Amino acid sequence: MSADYWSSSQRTKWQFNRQTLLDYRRKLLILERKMIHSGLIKDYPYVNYDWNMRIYLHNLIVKLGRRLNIRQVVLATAEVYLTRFLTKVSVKEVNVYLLVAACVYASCKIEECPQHIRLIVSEARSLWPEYIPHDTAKLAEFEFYLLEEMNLYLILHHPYRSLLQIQTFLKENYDTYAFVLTDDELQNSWSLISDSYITDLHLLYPPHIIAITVIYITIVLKKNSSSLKSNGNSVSIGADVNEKPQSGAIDSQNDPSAMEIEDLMTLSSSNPQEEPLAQTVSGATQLEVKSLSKIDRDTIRINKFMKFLNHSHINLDEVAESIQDMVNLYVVWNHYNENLVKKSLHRMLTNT
Amino acid sequence: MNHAYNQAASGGMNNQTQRTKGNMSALPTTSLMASSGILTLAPYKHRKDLVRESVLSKYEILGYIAAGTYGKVYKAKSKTSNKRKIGSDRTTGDVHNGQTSTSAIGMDREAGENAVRSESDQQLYAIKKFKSDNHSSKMNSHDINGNEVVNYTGISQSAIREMSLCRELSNRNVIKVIDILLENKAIYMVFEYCEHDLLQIIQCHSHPEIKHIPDFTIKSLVWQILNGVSFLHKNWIFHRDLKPANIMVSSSGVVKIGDLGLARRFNNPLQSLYTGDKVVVTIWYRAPELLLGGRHYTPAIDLWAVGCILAELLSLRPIFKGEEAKIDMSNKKQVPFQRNQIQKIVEILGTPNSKTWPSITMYPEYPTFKQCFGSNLPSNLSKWYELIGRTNQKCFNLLEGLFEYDPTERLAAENALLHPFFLEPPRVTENAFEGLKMKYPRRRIFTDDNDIVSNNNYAPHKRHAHDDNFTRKRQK
Repeated sequence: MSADYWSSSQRTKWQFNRQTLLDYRRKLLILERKMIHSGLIKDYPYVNYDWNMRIYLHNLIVKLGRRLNIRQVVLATAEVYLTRFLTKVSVKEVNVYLLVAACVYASCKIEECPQHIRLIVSEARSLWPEYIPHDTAKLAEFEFYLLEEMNLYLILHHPYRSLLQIQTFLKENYDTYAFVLTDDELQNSWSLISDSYITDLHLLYPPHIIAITVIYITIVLKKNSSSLKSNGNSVSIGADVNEKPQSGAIDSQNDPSAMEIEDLMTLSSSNPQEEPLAQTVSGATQLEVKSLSKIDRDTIRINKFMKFLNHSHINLDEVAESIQDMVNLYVVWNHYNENLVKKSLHRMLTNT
Repeated sequence: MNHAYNQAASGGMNNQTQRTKGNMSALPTTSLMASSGILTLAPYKHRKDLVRESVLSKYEILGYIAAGTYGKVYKAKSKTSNKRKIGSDRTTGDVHNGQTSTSAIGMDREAGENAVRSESDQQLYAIKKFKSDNHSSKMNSHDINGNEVVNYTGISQSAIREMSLCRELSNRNVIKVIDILLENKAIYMVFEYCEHDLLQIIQCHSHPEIKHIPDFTIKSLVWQILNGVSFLHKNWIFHRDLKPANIMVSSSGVVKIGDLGLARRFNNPLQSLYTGDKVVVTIWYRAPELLLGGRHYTPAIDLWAVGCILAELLSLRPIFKGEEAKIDMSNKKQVPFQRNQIQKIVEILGTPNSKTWPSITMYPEYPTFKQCFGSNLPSNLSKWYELIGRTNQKCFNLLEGLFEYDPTERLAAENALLHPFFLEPPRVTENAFEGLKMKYPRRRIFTDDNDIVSNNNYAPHKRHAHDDNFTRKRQK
């Protein structure tokens, strides 16, 4: 249903569990092997749907979105389309640049801010002239295949709205929880959501789980908030890519995301409660013990947030798994090698 | 494959798994393709095109029902038996329909409908084939034999809306999409088939001589329309093109609101509604706030249209049959002032003013309106009601509520469902045709052009008044 995630096609048609998603990907690999074996496609061993590729694709969408000056939610929809498509189609058999353009083109329409196909093509061509055909019919054609792979289930529910709903709820129930997100925290959670589109989270969990995940990461990392300034890593990485497209791995000295990654890593190792989150929250005493040794404002806030989580009946196992995915993302982001993807794709697409 | 696809609506992930398997087993092994073709997706397209099911392999075209600017609607029969699937769809789909005021009907609607649903209806479909987007004529070229070669153009906003919304919605009073096929650059939306629509029913009652539609039939029809509209509004969707031709009725008297091509979600729009579509709703059914140039309108526009439909059911002719001022083709951005249409409304409902409608002065066209309609006419609605020979006071009161000038005061769909008219006996029947002596003829179909796959058959055929309404230019 359009108003309601629980009866939406997003949940009933396009939500996987980890096992089914894994099965899909395995089948896709088998298909890939078969196509290579029969000579339909060539094998380019470095063109894989791995973390490197995912971060690269995410950046492509962000770049095109910025050129077109379109809203975050529209990009988010495009990213989910991309992730869905690539559960059924191999990156070795398509032109991912055209795919990115098609996802953005379709999502603009579905989010009711349509852009003319010629504008999309010309902006995409100015970014990636060697990969985007001049003929708009090529993009239009790909849109058909894209929508077909999604079986025409197109309306999405994003965690951005859940985040705002949670904030509203916290404001309305301030008497009970004495906890709301500050503007910085909200902003930070917002940009964490934008990063989450690199992962499979949107194929696995309802939007509110992802919203809680980013709030948790934000609140627990409050003391490092200076490194988490608004639009922290996604923007900085995007900017980095924009300015020095030839540069390889991102210089971790200057990269604010690296700082955050370290924080997250220390967090996950020094905080034994973090893993079994459900346990932590249900046994709130555990946290109180901790707060005895180090009572500061942040700990009290974490405590209050935990109280809310405990009351919320939100599936905390899912939140814990989803936090783990986000942490993994930032770990691998630290080793992101843009040039490798870019060159491999170039070799594949120009057949050299 | 066929089996897997047939379960698409209910099968979920399971179904997708089967599809993937199908793709693999049908993997091409012969042709060698130049890898540079990958720039234009050649390997992928080749793989997909080999296994795609043709619309003609699944459906037998019986004839076409109507043609319009959007494309063409065909009546079709399934080639494989889909009965089981429809049954399961209904039970799973309607669990979520969240209707209000079921008490007004007060019986198991699901069981009722299945019992009266005729066998033949179940295997029939209406297939809507979308015409490709407007600039297609310019882009299309001709091949050696002079046949038109259709290029891909982007899918129209209207098709995207209708497909995406229909995929999410499941309500007894909103048309159900069974299947959507993309084939050979065309889109086919397969809907449940409805034998009638309100335009046809109204015509049936007015030709050759006037035979009033009984109150209890009107009551059931309007309640069902409101139920569907209420469902759409609860899902943050407004329809924006309600009119008799878009209200389908199944052979078992169940109303199905159709044509969601102008419908859109209105929660949290990223840009103003006006930016998306300058003009909405067919002129005779267009609410006064739209006629006055309102850009931030509300779902109340749909309720005005329901009012117009109710009036048309009562009197058998459009109540505000104004003449549309056409958009000046040399200045497309300028939306013309619909003086004649407003005139028709004012003649019956009186002149609105800032007492009856406080925000009226804020509308862009208010100064023009003030200039044209200086005198303060009183409402003639009760006289009109008398004149058409109607007497039910509660029904009149409902009509008044729907024709409230001020959109914030107009009846909302949810409240209208609880209107005294629906609560007084006789009870709302869930089969609108119950107790009706009149038998409506089956929908006419034209069998001279059953070629659903060719791309050359879009010239709208003006056959009879019915078609004429379909082809009436979509207000967009």
